[in-house]
Amino acid sequence: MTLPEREPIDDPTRIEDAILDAALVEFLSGPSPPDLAPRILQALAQQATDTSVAERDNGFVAEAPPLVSTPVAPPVQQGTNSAEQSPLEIAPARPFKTAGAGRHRAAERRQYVGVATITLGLSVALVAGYFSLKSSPSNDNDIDIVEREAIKGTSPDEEPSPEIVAPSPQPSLPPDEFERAPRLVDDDQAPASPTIGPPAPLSTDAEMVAFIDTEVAKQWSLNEIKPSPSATDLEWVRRVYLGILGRIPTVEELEAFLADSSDNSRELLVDKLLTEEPYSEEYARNWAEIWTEILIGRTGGTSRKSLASRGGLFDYLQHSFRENKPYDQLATELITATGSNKPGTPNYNGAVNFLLDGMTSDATLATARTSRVFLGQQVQCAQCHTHPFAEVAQSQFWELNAFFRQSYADRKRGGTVDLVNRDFPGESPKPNYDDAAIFFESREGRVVAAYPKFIDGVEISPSGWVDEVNRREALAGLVIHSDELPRALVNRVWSLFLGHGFTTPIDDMGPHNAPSHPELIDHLSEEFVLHDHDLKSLMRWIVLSEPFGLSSRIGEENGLDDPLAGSVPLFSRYYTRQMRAEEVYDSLVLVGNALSSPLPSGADNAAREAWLGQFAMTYNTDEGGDFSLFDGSVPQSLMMMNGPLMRRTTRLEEGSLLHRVIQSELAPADKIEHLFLAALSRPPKANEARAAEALLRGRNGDVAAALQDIWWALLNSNEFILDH
Amino acid sequence: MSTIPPFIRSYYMTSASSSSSTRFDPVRLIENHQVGVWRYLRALGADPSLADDLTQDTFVAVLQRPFHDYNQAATAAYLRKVAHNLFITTMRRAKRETAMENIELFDAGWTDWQQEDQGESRLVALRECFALLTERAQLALRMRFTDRSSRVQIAEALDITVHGAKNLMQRAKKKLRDCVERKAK
Repeated sequence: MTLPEREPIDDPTRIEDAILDAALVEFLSGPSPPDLAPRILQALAQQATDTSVAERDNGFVAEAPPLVSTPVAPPVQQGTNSAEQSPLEIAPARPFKTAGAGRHRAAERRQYVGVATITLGLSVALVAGYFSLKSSPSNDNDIDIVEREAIKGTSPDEEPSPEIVAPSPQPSLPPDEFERAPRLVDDDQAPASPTIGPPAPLSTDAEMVAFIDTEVAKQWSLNEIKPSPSATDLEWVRRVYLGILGRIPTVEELEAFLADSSDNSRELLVDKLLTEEPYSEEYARNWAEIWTEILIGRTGGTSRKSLASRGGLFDYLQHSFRENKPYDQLATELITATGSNKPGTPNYNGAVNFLLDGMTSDATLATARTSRVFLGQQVQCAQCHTHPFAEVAQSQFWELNAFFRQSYADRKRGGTVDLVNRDFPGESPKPNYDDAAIFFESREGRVVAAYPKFIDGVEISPSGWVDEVNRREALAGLVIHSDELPRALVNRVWSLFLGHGFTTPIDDMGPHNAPSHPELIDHLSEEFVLHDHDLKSLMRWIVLSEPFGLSSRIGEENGLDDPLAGSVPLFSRYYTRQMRAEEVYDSLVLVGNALSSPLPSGADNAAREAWLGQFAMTYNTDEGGDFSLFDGSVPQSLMMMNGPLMRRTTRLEEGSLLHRVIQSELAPADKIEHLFLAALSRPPKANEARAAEALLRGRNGDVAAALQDIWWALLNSNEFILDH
Repeated sequence: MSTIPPFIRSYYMTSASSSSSTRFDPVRLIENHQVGVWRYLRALGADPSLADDLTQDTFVAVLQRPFHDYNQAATAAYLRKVAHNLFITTMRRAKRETAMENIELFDAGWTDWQQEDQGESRLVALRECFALLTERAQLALRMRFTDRSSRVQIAEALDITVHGAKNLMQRAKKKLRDCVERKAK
């Protein structure tokens, strides 16, 4: 299917075009609207007859198909009761099997006196009258009937496929039979759900959670493994805080959760973290950070040579997550952004920093990143050759790249950079804005032309004029309506919470990399779209699911479920992994300063960036790749054990958590328990408590020093830095 | 407009409860709205036979339950909504992507187009405005909408580039829109 030049999604002129086109077809070639009243009445009469017969023979409960909610409220028929039956009252609905009854609305059942007899007679009369009617009231135009082009239209060069429908010959039937009115769906193929009515209602959160549990359990059963037992409440709470807010919970937050004895305490906690202040602010910051890294890596926008402002992108994302912007809107804004990269400038738009980072004249990095992030497809290999595993031809990379060729990074004074769209003349020796091709060299040495064409084959106009076709806007429209967008997002978010996605890697999806749970990712993606691309809904389903709530301990019967060893993840346990550097930093700041929220400000931000920056290294490749040294390396260990942050977190001065605990009236055992809860979100085990108390006694009464040692040991333990 | 035999029409019209202050007349409902619903479906992208079927289904669906015809506009909007849902369902069953991205915007545009007479006056205005176009513009539009010619064929017939043919038709349609709009005011 080809697509003409795409205009902005909500462009009224496109809609006006559709309406005008339909009017032009009617005016120029017809047909004119036919008089359908007789067949409508005949259909109504037929339904009444069928209903009566079905009810008599089969005992069907006739239910009217659900209709859309209407501004016209159905009335209570005045004066209607069984004694005043009027043939005017609408005949009972056609019989409908009540499969999927939950989705049907029960209709009022009406009893009519003599309806069957009257409607049967009416049907006969209708048929007799039908053939005396004229046909189309206006000019009988039996010429070709032109199918109106879909609003998407056709490409300029596509031959429209005319649908030539000759007018139906008038049937001639003997007067004692009548022809059944044509139906869209034959009654003997009555679907389980009505053809008429509103779209199926959205699945509830509970239904989605149940679906996740069922689908994951299916794979356990197929692979003959048993899941680990459930995690404790405290383990689960720690995970939820890390997953949603990016830090561990405080002791007060743990105690508040434990004090909630309601059956839905977990749901309430999740809702609180996602929607209530101050947590929603922490949520926005955490996910802005996550997505900044996804979009431009750990080092993007940090070097002096970079065109992007990392802070600008972060600000834009934080604002977006604060507003709970739908994901398709986020994707559109990032792909189509224009404006300045620097806050404070008149046309500042933080979203431009996604494409600006690494923007070159051929926009190859922008192409690769957009495909990887939003479509879950790694196409950078195809820049030079056909992808070795996926079916991505070299031409496909450059056809995708062609969408970005109107983009230009306009460097201004003062270090500001504007990302703009400008008319693209193509790469031919002679500028040709109407046919703006780009060229690439195949491995065989041939120079091949490429025009904008999406991964599913949809093309747009070859014009390079921005006011005729804004290529990035066209691309955004194609991206957000593709199946790949929600699947890539679901895969990524699932991996962020569960440690592994449905594919490995998560952003190289395709036939060459089948998902581990295909039905699950399909359904999650569909529901995500139906829920208006709401990221919080998706997160809610995941964190309330059984896989997320399992212990991280390997059980006796799921030892084979070991993705790090190369097996396909089955999510039969919670996969332990190290916290991100940001999570460690924020958690240390929180617990060290006895804060209720780790949100830094001003100078704290600078200190945070400096601490995090020392772990981020770049590969200095043309793909802009980078990696983190915060992976159990020696630098990490040294920073954790001896660095300034650890010293500040374990200080004894007033204002620190340690100072508060030491000065409290708590018994020594309770002080130890408080430190365990603060660092590890759990009380000490019996042997740990004994060892800690022995340490207290062994310091000759210097309780502060002993507790400081215990505190330091807890914060440097593996358990602290693990998300388990 | 309707050619329903009088005795059929009277059957419905005389059966309304005399005590009701609002007499519901399904025949009148069909007469007043079937053209608008049909044209709406055509604008959505239904071919004529599908528009026929879905128009029928729309009224059958609506008339299967008690219906109160408060006013023309409200009823028309309700019928369009039902018709749209039917259209979407049909397209999905045929695994065809529906064209409409913003139905609310489309509905607003349609309401403005069809005015109070299901679009009849607009069609008359369109006829008059079409006559005011240049011959080349008229030819291009006739080729496009009557002969279903491609832009390449139109460009060849008019001895212009494909791009030029597209521009010509776009400009012509804009002129038609503006002209029809002026006549409507």
